[in-house]
Amino acid sequence: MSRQLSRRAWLATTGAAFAGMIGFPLVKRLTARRETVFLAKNQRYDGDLTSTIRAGLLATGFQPKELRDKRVLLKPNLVEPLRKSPQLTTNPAIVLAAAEVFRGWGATVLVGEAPGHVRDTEMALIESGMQTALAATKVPFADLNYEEVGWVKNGGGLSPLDGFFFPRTVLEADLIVSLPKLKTHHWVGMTAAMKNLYGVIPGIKYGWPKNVLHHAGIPQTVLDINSSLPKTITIVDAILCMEGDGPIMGSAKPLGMVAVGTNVAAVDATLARVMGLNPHRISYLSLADGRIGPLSESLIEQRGESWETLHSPFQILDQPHLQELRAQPGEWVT
Amino acid sequence: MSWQAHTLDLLLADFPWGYHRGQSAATEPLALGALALLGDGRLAEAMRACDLLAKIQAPDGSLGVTITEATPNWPTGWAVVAWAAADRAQPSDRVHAERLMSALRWIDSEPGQPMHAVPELGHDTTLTGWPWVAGTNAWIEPTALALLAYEAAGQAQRPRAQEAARILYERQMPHGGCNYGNTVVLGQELVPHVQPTGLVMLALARAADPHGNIERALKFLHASLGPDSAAASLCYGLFALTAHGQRPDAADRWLENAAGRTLAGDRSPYKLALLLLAAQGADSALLQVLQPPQTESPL
Repeated sequence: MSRQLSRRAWLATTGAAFAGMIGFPLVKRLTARRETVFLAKNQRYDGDLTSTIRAGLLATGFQPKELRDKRVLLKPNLVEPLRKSPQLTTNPAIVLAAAEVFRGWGATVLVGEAPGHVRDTEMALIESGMQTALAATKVPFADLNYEEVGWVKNGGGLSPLDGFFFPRTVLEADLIVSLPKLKTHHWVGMTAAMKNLYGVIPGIKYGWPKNVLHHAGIPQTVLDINSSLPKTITIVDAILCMEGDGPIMGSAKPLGMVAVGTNVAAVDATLARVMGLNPHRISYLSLADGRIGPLSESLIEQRGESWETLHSPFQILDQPHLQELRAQPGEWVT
Repeated sequence: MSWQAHTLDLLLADFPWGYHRGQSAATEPLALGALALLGDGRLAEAMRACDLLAKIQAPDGSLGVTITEATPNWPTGWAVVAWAAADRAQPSDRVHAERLMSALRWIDSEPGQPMHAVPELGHDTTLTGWPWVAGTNAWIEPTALALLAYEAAGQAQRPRAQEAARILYERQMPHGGCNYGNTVVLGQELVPHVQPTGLVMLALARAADPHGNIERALKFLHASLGPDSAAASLCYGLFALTAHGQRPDAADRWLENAAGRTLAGDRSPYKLALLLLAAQGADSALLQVLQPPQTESPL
């Protein structure tokens, strides 16, 4: 029998391939879940952030009644606080405002962090201004670097790690709220909601820095950690941001913005656009696309301000691996 | 009652010690607590902590971070220091000698993962050193703990101890002090921190200073410490300055402030042990055990 393809078979084969090339992204887009991101402008640390955060959460479909008597863990970014660099860490005003909102909805709230570059957590709290703020409002703090740990299977499966050791406070949380500072990052481009959750990983098991994660791949482990945690939402401190040589040595960039969302990938993608970066070129966001949430503009509903009105390109280092993340004028980034 | 006596009572009441009250016993707080008790002449209580460290020790000589977590093993050096100090306090018995040497052999065989030369980083990434977690790169603090162990065991002339000293000296920032272990990244000098600088300067207390790195680091510590310093950073900074004969006049007052805050706050056994040790100054078992022994013992 001839092994030549019949015309009908050829048409069927090439048609399927064509559909695969063109149709799959379309099908993916049609079936993907839409997410909502809320952006607020003209925000100040001495302003009414509680109202902004409450409005943002409600606008993105958050259900307050589900929080009654639940444990909410607020996770700011205190990676390596320096008193003279307020652009480095989440401002305490954001943390306190979030605590007030969740307490008002009947939740038990605590703040937790495992600073990634410093072993002295008390020093991190003092330098960031967090210690004074938390003491004044009696919000408890959990030192995630030194807590008892439990093991959780890797829910993402992109890195070679079978699972993660999470601190007890993380395992017991009903909701984790990522409270990052919006910054550039000199290795992966940007850090916001997803990358901030590296900071739930305990130093006592992973080191300072958490070098085990670097060896397993930064983009892959960002995705895996986000996929292995309890329910996670985000409130982003983008009032005073960091640009240039982030996430530690960069310069202050005032933006006056707060971003809120129940999907961390959608929020990060939106913030990348605000920063002038193409979210599809940020390695960990690219991996998150369709796994954690959508990156495409067409799948992200904007509430509050649109990202275009807040668009303000961040300076990034003149390094090829960073410059290629820039969204080009007229580029189709959705 | 002095704050030290009150703190010691609280520490003893919380045995066995974790990083925070009520937690599982952890290697580092146990070793620091044992050293603090030795400095106060509480030999029996110190031995209780040393014996618990022995129970944590694995057959390969390493110790896990806590009594329930067998890995990673970066605090193994602290157990060596505590056992060495205990054996110096009871030289006729030397009950910890065997376990100490077993731990030191493990340290001797534990390599950090060297990297090929990385142009973006300002330090020599090809040196081996010690990692936080097996199979990863060398960092400042685990390398300093290894050097402290060699020094306490009288093994400072071993090749790997010399290597540790080279790494620690080389990873000081150009303007003084160090952080977790990077110096210059993508052309930008990073920021030093007190705790790692203090630990490293303690480990380098007997090192030569041909390029002024130690002098600049000590200057950084002097400029950074004060009445509001966080407890652990203050203690590590004072360990270093005391070991180099530069203990600030106000040290005791700063320690009392930090103890007051800790006692009114989380009463972390780890921090209480550090505060007691730092208050003992040059007479502490930690600083005494780092003095050169009469003879080096075989590994």
